[in-house]
Amino acid sequence: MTSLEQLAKQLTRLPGIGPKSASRLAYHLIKSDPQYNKQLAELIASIQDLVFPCPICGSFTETDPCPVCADPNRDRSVLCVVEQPQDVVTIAASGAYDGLFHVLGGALSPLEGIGPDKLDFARLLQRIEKESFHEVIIATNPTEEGDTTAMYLRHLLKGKKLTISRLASGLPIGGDLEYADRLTLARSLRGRVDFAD
Amino acid sequence: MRFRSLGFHYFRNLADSMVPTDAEHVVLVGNNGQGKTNFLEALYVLCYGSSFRASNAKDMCRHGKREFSLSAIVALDDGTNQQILFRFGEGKREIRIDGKEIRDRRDLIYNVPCIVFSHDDIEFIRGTPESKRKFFDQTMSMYDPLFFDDLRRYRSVLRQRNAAIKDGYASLIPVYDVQLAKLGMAIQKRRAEEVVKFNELFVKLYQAVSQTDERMYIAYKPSWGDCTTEEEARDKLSRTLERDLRMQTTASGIHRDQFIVMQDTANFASSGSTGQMRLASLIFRIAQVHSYRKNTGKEPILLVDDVLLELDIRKRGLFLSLLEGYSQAFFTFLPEETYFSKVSGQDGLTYAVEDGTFQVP
Repeated sequence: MTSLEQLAKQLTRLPGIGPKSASRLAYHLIKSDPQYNKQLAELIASIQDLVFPCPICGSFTETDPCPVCADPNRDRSVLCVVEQPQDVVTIAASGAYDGLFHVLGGALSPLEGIGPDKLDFARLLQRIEKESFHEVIIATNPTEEGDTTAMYLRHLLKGKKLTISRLASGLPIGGDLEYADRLTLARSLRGRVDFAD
Repeated sequence: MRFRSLGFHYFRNLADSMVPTDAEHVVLVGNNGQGKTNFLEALYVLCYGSSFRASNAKDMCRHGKREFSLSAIVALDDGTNQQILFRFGEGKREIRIDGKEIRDRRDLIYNVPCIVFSHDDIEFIRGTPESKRKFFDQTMSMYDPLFFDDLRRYRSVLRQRNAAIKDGYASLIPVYDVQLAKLGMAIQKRRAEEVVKFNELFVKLYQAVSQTDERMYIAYKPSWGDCTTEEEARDKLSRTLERDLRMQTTASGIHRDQFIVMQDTANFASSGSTGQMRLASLIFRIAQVHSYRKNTGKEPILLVDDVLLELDIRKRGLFLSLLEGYSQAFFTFLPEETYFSKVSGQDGLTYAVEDGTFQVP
């Protein structure tokens, strides 16, 4: 196997990269500025040393604790529980949330061997015991696995003096009903909310 | 809605070609093994993304090939044309509508609805409980996306619950019970409603085609028949957990429901003759066509594969008179069969099928 083929083969291991894209990327790298290739290679080699999970919330960080956990201006009475570190970035970027986060590291799926022991529930419960949260927002994905994880967490938190909430789901904002797909509309109808004064 | 043309590349024994199909009735005439059913299968794959007979897309590649593609131009009800493309290769399938990739099969199945009449339909009458559930689930899924989605979620939760049972994740089982009970009772309620509506049609259609006053109907026996609410279903699941743990699977739920075809008070699967069952299975499909049209106001495309052969001339006429309310129909015939004037009339196209090629005779 030539070095070019080897590079392409390694690139196909990245998510979303098929053999054709990998080969295109490999050819692109051959023709790129050598300085760029060097920087890219160094960054890839050192990324795992530079970035690590925050020991408090589990999101990726280069400082201990992470900037969110360390920020004195954030609302320390609300905790948002998410599946993946990327979800922290997404929710923080919405600008609509200024509380703290906790990353579970996935969603429950016994089919894939992911039971409660594989997710970070233990540290979450410790945090809830020690810190003074009033509300826990469960922001797992609206998939079956995400729903299961949310319901399991609700079960774990039963009896604690906390408001537990789950992200709303339904129609996209700014869209006409006319363009909503039938299933989204049907689900939104089933999950309709009280609108009384 | 109508297929205007259908194209193949490396698909089964069909020669790489583009075949015009712009007619209300398209008739394929040929001996067995020439490619008639393959043609219908290609249409079905473009409608639903999977085959009605091959469980693996790989099996649809031409002998010695590892890829195939299908394409069609469909005239939509609003007068515009749509292009559907299905490509299989490197173990993956790709579906595009007007160039846009369809990632979830859900977005395909409501695009061009088709109903296939085939020999295997007799399994809906005499086959396993699973094949009967399949028929009714398909009938409802065709017009009710929420039912289809509930069913898909139920199956997914069921697989997780079974995995939790096998792997000893006992703390997760109550969570799965809540989800199964909720989805399952919604499905059970819809199935019960559908059977009532289906029986209204089926009883009359069977009497009309068989020209008897035999009362044939479907008896629905839900696995959770003693439950009327989600809470009761959940209680039932937790009461029977010990048995589930022993059997290493979820032994009750809507995946164990039964649809029994009854002839007055007898189970038709054991009392009926093969001819009667064949006829009943055709009427199942006719009822499916009626149900689809009644619930959506739209007319489906029919793929009628060799099923008329088994009916005598009189029943064939009655069957065809009840077969109405479709936008386009494809029929297959053997050369010696005398087919009927309805399809060779004004808006009809006939092809002689030989060794994977389609010629106008």
